[in-house]
Amino acid sequence: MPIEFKNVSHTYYPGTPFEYQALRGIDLVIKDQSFTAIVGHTGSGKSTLVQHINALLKPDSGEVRVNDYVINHKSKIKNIKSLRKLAGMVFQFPEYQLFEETIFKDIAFGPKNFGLEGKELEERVLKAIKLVGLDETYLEKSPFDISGGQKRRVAIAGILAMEPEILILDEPTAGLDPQGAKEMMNLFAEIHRQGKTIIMISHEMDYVLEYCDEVVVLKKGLVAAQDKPINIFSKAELLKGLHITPPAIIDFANRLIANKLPIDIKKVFDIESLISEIVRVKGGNK
Amino acid sequence: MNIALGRYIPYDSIIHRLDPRTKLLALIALLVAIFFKLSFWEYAFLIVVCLALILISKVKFRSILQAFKPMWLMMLFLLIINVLVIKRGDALFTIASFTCYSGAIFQTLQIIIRLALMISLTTILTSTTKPLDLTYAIEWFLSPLRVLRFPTHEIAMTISLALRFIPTLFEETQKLIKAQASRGVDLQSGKLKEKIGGLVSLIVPLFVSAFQKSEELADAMEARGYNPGAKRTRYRKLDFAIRDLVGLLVCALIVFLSIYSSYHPEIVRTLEIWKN
Repeated sequence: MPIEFKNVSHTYYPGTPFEYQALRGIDLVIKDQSFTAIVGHTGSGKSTLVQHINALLKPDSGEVRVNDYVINHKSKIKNIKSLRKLAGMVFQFPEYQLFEETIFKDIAFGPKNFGLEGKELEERVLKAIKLVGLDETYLEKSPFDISGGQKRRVAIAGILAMEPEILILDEPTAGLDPQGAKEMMNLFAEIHRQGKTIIMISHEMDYVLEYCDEVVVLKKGLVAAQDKPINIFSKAELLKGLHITPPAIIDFANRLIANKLPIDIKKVFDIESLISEIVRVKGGNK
Repeated sequence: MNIALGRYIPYDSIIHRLDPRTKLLALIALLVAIFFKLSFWEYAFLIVVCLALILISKVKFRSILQAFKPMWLMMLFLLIINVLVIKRGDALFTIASFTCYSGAIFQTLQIIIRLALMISLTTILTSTTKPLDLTYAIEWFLSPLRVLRFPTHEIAMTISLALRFIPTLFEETQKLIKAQASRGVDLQSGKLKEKIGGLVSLIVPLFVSAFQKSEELADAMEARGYNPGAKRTRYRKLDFAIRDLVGLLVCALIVFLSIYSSYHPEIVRTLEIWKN
């Protein structure tokens, strides 16, 4: 089932001088099993938007549909826990939410809250920590004794152990070194291949181009564009209007095209594909 | 989630523009007047003054009523104790050989009015004055104590840092509540044991980040050569204008009138006669 937003508006602190309308009538369908990127300027409503999916926020007007759940202004959602299990949310800098004595307990916290115990719980935790690229020797350590990058992995493992069908990521690679960020993105791509829906807020357009199959651009609380990444990134005019810097690789390919190298920009999404395009064009000239 | 009580609200009113020292001094003076032994008429007068201040400062009545909320239980408790203890005035009614006197009711009413006035006035101060300005004012009032080697600057700095981090910690708590709610913590409708577990999942990360922040802050301050003993100038100068003088005079008049008339009840009586 897709995730549907119908005319969703959200205002923070209504009726006070701090009032701020973050969403102004969002209409959006996020396809099932897609890897959707949400991009946009600071303050465009990205985080507010995704927090509606697991009902951390409720719309002031309009409604959000996630599987059988309908989230609107009035409804008190029955079984909110199972919605939160269905749509796992990884916040920005999730390492700050660690609190248990051992990494095992911290990863087990989520699934335990959703009623898992015993052998099954242990297996889940083990699976999750391996998935994020750490091994079981970490399980008995304190989450406060490991490096920042490892903390991030443990925090993400804590959400993965809940085995959500929809994984929501709020800038998951912010502050990671390039190597770590790349590994993290490969992990999400792997989870996506297992048939899960992934929704990722990101400012890293290179990753959006390389990994995502859909982009939603937000501007001032409205959907400004929704399309395949390459369709959005290849339109220089559109990008300018939305204040988005295109991915470096697209920029590079565009300059090649400007210098009369007739490569097909729609086939470029990472270094390898760019090279094979150049080879195709150059090879044909020989 | 509603906004923290008594938080600064950036409207533009004459009260907002007053010097924080004026406002602090005026508050103290008015509080002194309130806690004098006043009669009905003086309280009525002060209540009118307070309502006028609320109107002028554009503070919402709702936010002041919200500030009363935690007091209801205390007021009830006071009423019960007073009814049990005070045996002055006329006997009002008797239940099972226990007599309730009017003195008890009046006494309670007086305390409630005093507390309500105190809370309203304080809320007006905190919602019209930026916390930092308030600490400047406190530092200014404490400055004579420097002669006695009292660390006024350090205290003011500590207060302003603490105030500075209230919204930050508040924001962080909100974020953590959401993060842990996403991991299945249900602070509203879970079982007691779950709720306690949920609280731990908020408190530990909050403490960790508060300690981390304070360490980082201390490093940042030292890196910029902060020395508590040094002589400092200030970016924002407090500025005592004509309106502050007027404000203080009006306040002094109010305080004088209410205290003077409480010692000379004949004034109010003359007023009553004159009215008739």
